[in-house]
Amino acid sequence: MHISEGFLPLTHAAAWAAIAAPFAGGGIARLSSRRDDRFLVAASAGYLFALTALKLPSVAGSSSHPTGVAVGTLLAGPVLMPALALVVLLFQALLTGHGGLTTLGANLMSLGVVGPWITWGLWRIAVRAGAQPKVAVMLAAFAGSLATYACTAAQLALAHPDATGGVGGAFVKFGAVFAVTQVPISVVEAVFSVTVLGVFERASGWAAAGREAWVRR
Amino acid sequence: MHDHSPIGHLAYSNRWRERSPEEKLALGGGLLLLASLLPALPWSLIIFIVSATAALAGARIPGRAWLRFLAPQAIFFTAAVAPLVFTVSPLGWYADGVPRAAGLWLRGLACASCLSLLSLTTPVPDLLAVLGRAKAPAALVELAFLVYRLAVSSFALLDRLRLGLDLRLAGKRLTVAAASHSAGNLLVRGIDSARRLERGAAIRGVEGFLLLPPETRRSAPFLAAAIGLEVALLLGAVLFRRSFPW
Repeated sequence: MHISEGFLPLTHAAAWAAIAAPFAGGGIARLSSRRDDRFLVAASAGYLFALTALKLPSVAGSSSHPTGVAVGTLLAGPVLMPALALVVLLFQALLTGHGGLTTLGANLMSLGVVGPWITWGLWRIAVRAGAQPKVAVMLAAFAGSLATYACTAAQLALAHPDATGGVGGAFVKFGAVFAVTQVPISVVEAVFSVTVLGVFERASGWAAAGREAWVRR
Repeated sequence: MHDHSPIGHLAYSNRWRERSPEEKLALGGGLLLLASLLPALPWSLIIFIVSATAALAGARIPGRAWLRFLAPQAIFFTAAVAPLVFTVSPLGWYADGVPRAAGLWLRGLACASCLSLLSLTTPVPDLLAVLGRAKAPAALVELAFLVYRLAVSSFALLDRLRLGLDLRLAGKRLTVAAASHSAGNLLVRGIDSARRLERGAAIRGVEGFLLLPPETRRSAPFLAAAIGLEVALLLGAVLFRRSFPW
């Protein structure tokens, strides 16, 4: 999902950075006020870093990979996710050449804002509808991963509209290419997230069912 | 603390190791901005040559190591621009696809080369110290340092986990369940490792994490040359904008 350096016009890159900035600011403010959770947040960021580094090349300078958004969002909360994703994206640009500095804002929107909020929203809806915690996590992880990619497809479609179909045509084209790899990756990530959170639950007493109380602390 | 990853090793051992990170940021970051802003031809090509020369001849990054960083990116970009050239429904290619894809490919490569100039010559803690001096939020710098420290220490931990997993699997294929259990363990141990790191710093009387300022020397001629080069490139692009329109 990371859009590579140079693949967005500078005006688009600046616009995405401006849109992502308030979310990043909110995440940093939350991070400063919840210093006791910094180990958990750092470990979630490390998990995100490792999972998103497993990339396959995809359309127009982007990539396909697991997102790690569900584990990060359910452990740290959606408000903190932009700060966490900012650090991860910065390191990936500098250490692995994955993503870029000028495309940081666009990548932050997909990985740090859209994916986490969709994950969080769906998780809450599923829990309130009485779904089992594991089913709720699985559903949220699957949708969050796909939403991250839908956001990237929209960003690429705006930057590289189709010669005949325009922005809509390009969105369908980019979305279709992403879907080939991302739908199976998202299914695997959903299963993966349930197991990872299960291991974490057994080790720390954290429980997916009590997630909301955890984040509101 | 030393980073023993290939990029970390180069960042700590190159000829520009002792240059101020701000100066390297001015050169690599400035060229990166120009590569994103100026028309791909000929400016991306020129910026690629300039950044490659700075890395190979200036910082003396070994050619093979530099290629190992850039070659996967070039292959990645080639695969990435293919959908701009070819169409599967109906089968064929776009008339303007090749120049568009070539321009994007070249720009991507020039940007990756600028980024490699920065990351192969500057260790991450030096860049974090720049962020700290630039008054970036302390919580963010602390998180970045902690994540970096965890990433470095996780390499060794990951090797041990992988070895344990191989022994348990005894030749069987890795399953999603086994891999996700390892990832969960890595998460739990990562938190534990971070707690111990902070406790160690607290014993030394440091609150939070110890971020040592890099031992670097400032060089006004280097900074002036970097900015002069970038201004010259920008002026060149403005002067020749009729031949190479923006």
